[in-house]
Amino acid sequence: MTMPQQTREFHQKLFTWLAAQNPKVNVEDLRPDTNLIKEKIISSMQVMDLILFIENLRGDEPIDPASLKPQAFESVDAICSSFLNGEGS
Amino acid sequence: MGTQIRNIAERMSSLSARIYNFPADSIDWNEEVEIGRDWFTAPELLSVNGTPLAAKLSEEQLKTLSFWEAVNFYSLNINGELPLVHGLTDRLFKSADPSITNYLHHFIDEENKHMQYFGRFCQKFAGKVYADKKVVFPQEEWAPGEEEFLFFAKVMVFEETADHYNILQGNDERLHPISRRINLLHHQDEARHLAFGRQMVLDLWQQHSKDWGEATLSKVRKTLTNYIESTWKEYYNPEMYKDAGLALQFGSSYDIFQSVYSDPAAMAHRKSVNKKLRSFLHKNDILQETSHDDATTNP
Repeated sequence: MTMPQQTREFHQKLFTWLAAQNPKVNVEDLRPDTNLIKEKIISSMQVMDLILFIENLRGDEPIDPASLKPQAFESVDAICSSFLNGEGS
Repeated sequence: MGTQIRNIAERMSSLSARIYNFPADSIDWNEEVEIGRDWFTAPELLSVNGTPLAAKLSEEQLKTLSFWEAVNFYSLNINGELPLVHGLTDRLFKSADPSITNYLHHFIDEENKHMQYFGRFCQKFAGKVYADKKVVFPQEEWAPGEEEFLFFAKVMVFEETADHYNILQGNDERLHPISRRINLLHHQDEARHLAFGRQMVLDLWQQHSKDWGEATLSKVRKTLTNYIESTWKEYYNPEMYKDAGLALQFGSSYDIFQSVYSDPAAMAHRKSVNKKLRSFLHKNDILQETSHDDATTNP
C-alpha cells in the first residue's frame, strides 16, 4: 500500500528533526518503526521539544500531553498516528 | 535527617501557622482587566525583551504579550505545583521526624492555595490554563535516595526560577494590581519553601551522593541539567505568541519560540536569573562547573 504524500512528508520532517537533536543519529538509519525511546534517540526531557515541533507541524494546534502515554512518542509511526493523522488531537 | 533541617521545618511551620490565611480572598477580582492596556508582566521580564522582535512590537502588542506571558507564568506554576503537591502528599508520613511531617502539611496547604489564585486568574481572564508539555518516561530502577533527591532538587529549580519573577514583580507599580498582588503573595510563601527546599536538597545530597557510583552521579547531574533547560523552555511557550496575535505577523509561533529562545539577550537573561541557583549547585558539587548547564543551547 502506498503511503500518503502528507504522511511521507511528516516522516521526513520528523526524521530530520530527530537527527538534528541527536548528533549520533543519521537520518538514513531511521525508519518509521524505529523505537525512539529504547534506542535512546530521544530522552523524556526532549519530548517537550518534540511536542512543540509536532504542534508546529499541526499548524500551531496545541497538544495536551496530560492524557498521553510515553508510547505515543515511541516511534515516528506512533507520533503520526497519535498526532498528525487526525487522531490524538 | 540533620538537626538543621529540623530547625528550619519547625521555624517555617511556626511562621506558616502565624500567617494562616486565604490569599485568593485578598485579591480584588472585580478590578477591570483590559488586554493591551495594562502590563501584566514587567516589560524587562518579557521573553522577547532585548531581542530584535521586541523592537518591532508596538507598546500595545507588548502589553498584550505581557498578559499572555502572565497566563503562561501562572499556568507553569500550576503545572509545577500539581506534581509537587502530589509528591509531598506521598512523602507526608515517610519522615521519622514529626517536625518535617508537620511542615509538609503547611507546604501542601500553601501550594494548594497558590493554585487557587493562579487558576482563578487564568480561567477568569484567559478562559484557560496552558497545558503542561513535560512528559516523564518512567524510570524502573533508582539508586538509594536518587528519586528523593531529584524530586526536591527539581522543586528547588522550579521554585527558585519562579521566585525571581515574583520578587521583581510583587512591588512593581507598573503592573496591573491583580498581577502585582499574585506575585507578592506567591513570593511571601515561596521564601519559606525555598529555605526548607535548599536544606532538604543539601541533606539528601550529602546523605546519598557519596554512595552513588560515577554512572549514577552522571545520570543525576544530566537529569538536573536537562530539567533546568526544560523549565526555562516553558517560559517561551509558543502558545502565548499565538494568543498574543504575533504568529500571524512574524511567522509560526514555533519559529518565534526558536528565535527568541536562542537570542543572546534571552540567554543572558536566563544565566542572570539562575546565577544564585547555580552558585548553590556548584558550591555543593551537585553540578560541576564543566557541566553543560547554562540553558543557553538552541531549542
